[in-house]
Amino acid sequence: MAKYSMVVDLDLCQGCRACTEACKIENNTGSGIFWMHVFRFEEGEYPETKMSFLPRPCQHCDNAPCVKVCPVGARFKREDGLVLTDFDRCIGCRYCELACPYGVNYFTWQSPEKSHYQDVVDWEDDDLALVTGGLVPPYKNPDLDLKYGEEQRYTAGGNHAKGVIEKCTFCVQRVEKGMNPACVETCPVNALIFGDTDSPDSPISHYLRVRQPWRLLEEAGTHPRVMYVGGKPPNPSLKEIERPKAEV
Amino acid sequence: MAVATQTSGSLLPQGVGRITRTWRLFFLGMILIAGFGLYAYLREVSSGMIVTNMRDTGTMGGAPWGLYVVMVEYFIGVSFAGIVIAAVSRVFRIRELQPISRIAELLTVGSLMVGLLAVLIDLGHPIRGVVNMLLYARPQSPFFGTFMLVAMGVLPASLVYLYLGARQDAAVVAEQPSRLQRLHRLWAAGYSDTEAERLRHRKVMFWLSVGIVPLIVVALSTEGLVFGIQVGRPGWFGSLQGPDFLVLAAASGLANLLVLTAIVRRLLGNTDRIGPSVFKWLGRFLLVAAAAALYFMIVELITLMYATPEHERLLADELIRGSYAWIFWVSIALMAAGLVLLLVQAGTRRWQIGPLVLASVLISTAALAERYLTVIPSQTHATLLPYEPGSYFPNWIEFAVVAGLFALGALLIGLFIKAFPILPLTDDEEVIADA
Amino acid sequence: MRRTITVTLVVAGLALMVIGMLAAAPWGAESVADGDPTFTGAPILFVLGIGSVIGAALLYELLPDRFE
Ligand code: SF4
Ligand code: SF4
Repeated sequence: MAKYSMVVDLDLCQGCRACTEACKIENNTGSGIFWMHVFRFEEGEYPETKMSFLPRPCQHCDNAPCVKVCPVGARFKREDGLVLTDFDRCIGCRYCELACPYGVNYFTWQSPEKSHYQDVVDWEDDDLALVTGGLVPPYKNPDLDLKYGEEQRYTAGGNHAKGVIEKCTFCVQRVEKGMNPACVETCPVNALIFGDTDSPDSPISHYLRVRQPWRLLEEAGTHPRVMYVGGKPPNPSLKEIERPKAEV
Repeated sequence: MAVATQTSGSLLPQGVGRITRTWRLFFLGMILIAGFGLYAYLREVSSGMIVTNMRDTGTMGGAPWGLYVVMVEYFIGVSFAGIVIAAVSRVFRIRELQPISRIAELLTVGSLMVGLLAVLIDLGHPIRGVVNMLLYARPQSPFFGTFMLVAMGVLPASLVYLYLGARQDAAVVAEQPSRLQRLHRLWAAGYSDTEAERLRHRKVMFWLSVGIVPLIVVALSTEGLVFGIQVGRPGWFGSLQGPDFLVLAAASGLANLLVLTAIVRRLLGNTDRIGPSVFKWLGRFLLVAAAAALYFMIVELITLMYATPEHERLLADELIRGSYAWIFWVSIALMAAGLVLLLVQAGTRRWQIGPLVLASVLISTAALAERYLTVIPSQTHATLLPYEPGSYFPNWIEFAVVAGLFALGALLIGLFIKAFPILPLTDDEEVIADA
Repeated sequence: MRRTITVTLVVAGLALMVIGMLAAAPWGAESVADGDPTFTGAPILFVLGIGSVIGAALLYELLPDRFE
């Protein structure tokens, strides 16, 4: 059985947030929702400041607190390491969101149609219709409506219904076809590496043989499957700058 | 509604069945407030929880658990004291507290009902919540305690306790012809006060009393665990959350019980049935509970301040000086003021209803604020990753829904008082004599 | 008779609660992916168990005299 992991090379990441964009397009997430968020940090006082970046997907923890607290087993861990949410089972209690130390969960506060940047773009606009050919969002990646995994549960993509929780799925719909997650595929500098750590020949295994990885908030005991190389763990002296402004 | 209007010449005791103008106004007012709450909730159902001020933690910098969860904790906490007082006074034969046993049970049942309703209101999918809990509930999740133990265990047990405890009285009032006679007959369920029946009744009440206290302690401790097991939330993680929950629950529950008792006494024309000794007992209990609660609040504060983890210190800063400071200091001040009021009365050995009620209101408000401070700041200000600090304050929708919940609780209690004698008619004191 | 009914209900209720609890928690599950109750609806057993114990108290008091 494959065991999927992701390595984030902070020495390569340039903070461009292309991954954030790719994720939103692939998974149709709503306004204000960032399954893949890239922190942009500033350290020190001007003019002695330094910038650093830290991409933050769901860590797909092996000892996931979110899975433990879910009252109905909607949040579950797959054999291959993915931590997924069954949006058909989730009762919307948001307990997983608070149990997660990484802040990667997003609740669907409103219906999908409304959260698709409805207030930002007037989709009925005539000029826009020339470009879209009259196609009115919500655009849906059809792969997101399929069941995945041995368990055959509805787990892929975002924005299916109001009142459930969602988060990064490692693009389960792509992984099951043997493809990389959208963020990994898009990163222009290959700072994200995805693959099967159980197979010694996979690129990620090669990577991990030469670089010593560390994990985010190791002390929380969550055993994340996302590993970082280079850079250094965040600390409270870092100031987050350029936080995404979008609202739900 | 099962409440009869004026039945002239009705002999029912304690104003049962007599709906005066004031009562009508009270019911109307409560229905209006509850209706407004329902309207706010329906808006939430149709447009999603976006209409509240709750938002995601992390990049959105909000609190996914807002005022509703605070109220769940508060109401379920309030329910704690009632049944425990009733059961303890039965088992240990505390005569002075017998007259208020039904008030206490009623408070438990009422606050449990609105508390559990608040749980459902807080869910993104309330109906699915009920169904999926029955199909897939996981005992490993602390919510099992709320859904299974509190909703399916403590609430039905309390209802049965209230029902059986009042059965003898039901048989008495069922003999009076009135519009409520059918209800009373149903309640009495053929009770005819034979020796055997009385014996059985006492036995059942004894065993129920013995069984219900551990049940409620275990079930309510899980409410504290909901927060206590969260490694990822500075300010929540800790083994004291369970006991902490119970102590604050006892304080707020006793305070509410005291206020309700004073109101009932007023309603029944300052009856002697609820004499000074009742208030003396309640006052003493409240004194102990409030002192313990204040002690917990201060210990927690000191631990937070001295804690080495950076995040815990930042959280403490936020509480003491930051955006939550006013709630924090007000809650400590109210709790301390309530305590002082009680201490003065304890010192002079003169327990007076007015000051007692005032102290109760202060303590209950402090407990509510304390619940708020347990639930909210850890979400907006204690993220382990360096997200920008967030903010949360409930908006009118949430306030309206919560006001509706209070009104619903008051309505339930009011309806009961008008449908059934609130003070025991028969003496229940030898409950354990034969058990 | 009354006693037998009550005791049976209490014992059955406690048993149901234990079974329901064990079946609801996926103890001994082969894989991490197997987080669901052993069978769907196992928590209902737990609820029925609670109901049975509480019901026992009700029945003990309410059963008419001929059940003595
Ligand atoms: S990062 Fe958070 S949501 Fe993802 S698996 Fe870990 S605890 Fe769960
Ligand atoms: S929000 Fe959904 S997935 Fe998360 S804990 Fe609640 S039911 Fe489980």
